[in-house]
Amino acid sequence: MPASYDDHTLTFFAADFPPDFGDRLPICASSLNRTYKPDDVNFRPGSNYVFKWWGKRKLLLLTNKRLGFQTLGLNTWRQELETFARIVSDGLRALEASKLTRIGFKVVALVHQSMTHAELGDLFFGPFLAPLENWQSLVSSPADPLIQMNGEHLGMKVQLVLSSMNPEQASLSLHGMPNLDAFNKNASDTVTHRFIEKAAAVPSFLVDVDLFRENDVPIEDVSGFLQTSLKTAESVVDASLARLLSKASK
Amino acid sequence: MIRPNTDTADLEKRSFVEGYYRGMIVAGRLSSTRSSSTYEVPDPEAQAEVSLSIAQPLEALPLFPHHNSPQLRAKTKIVARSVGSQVGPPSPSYLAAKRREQSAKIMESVNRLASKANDRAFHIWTQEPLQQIKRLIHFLDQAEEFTEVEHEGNACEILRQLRDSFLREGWERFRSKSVRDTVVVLLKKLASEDAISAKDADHSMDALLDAGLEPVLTKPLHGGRKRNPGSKA
Repeated sequence: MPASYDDHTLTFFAADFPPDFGDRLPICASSLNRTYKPDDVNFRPGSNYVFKWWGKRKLLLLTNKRLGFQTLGLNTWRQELETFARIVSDGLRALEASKLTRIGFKVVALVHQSMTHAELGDLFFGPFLAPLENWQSLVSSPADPLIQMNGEHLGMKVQLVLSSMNPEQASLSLHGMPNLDAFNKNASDTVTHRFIEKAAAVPSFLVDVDLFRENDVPIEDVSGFLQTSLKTAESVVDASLARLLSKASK
Repeated sequence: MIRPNTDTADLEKRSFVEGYYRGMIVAGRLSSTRSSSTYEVPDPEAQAEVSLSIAQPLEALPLFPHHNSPQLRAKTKIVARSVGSQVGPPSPSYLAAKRREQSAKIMESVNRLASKANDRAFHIWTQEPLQQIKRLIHFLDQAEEFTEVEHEGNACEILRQLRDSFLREGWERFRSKSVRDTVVVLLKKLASEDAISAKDADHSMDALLDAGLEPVLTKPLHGGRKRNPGSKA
């Protein structure tokens, strides 16, 4: 069942490989273009290809050291996971990459809550942070907490950021995300604008979870990583929300 | 709920006539509304006494038919209990989250009583859950004092039943595992549900009575004994 935050979520996937200084990049781009028939392909300075599929709110990004995806909403990932895995596999084969320097999946979820920004911030004290009174010698009136935690989770490295966001903060934060303009078909298209407006409409609980593996990741592991990281990211968002609201985690 | 399109003077007059008066500072100006309505205060920590001027001639008000003064000064206490810079009453989902969080802590305290069940000074150990229950009742009561709907009213009812169960000789019953288990089941509900229904409160009452507890005190707290003169209530 889709989660309530599905439509207020940005996802990023990146498979990094040793830089290609030869002629593999255009060959790979051409192969992907033929096979997956994007609606549009942009070639940007710095040898960056951006493949776009209108209406699907997904981008394929290709540079000489990275193959990545970016989507608006989490549902696109769920529905097209197999396609994404095939594209990555075909792309890396065309690039003749044998090992990856890094592979990562990042979810930025703005989980809407029917409470104020101040209340959201207050709920951090207890479930995540020491009770409010313990902070008063450091900050007499703590508000707007932000937590960043690095570590490992289920065999992957993880960087987790939790915060409460008011609409202005959410809007600013989303506008700072890379490539969002590329989701628009043209200058008058409002896909990105509508997404940000909806995502930043009310105070929200930000869960930014970045799951990754580094150093000599075998190409064969990509498909498994895609499956595992999606499930893990979803479970981290759900568990974070459950903890914030003091609910038993599923 | 503040009625932004309502004339302030009219509200003031009406509230006097009806005899329910509450004064509030709203965004630097004075307004008032009935006590059954909710409140709005710009500074959440504000607790001040203000002077209120009524613009209408007081003869017009049936409460003061013979008053000649053109002005009435009324002292009003403003108390806000909101979070951070929030204006207005707390959100139901916030209160539910706080109730779940605190109920889980109370549940842990009740569970910890198991290790002290045979202690001679057991009543001292029961103070921890009792105080936690009282604090949570106080928090929820205060938070919803001015709201039109009490979302946590049934939760408070269960908490009051639990509080009363500890009073008089009730604490002694908590030495029994079955009594603690009964209470833990009720607390688990408070610590997990989005909303607590009136049916839950009824069920809680039955469960506590079945466990031999006294969820509603039917006799004086001190057994009807005469107190020493001068002793505090």
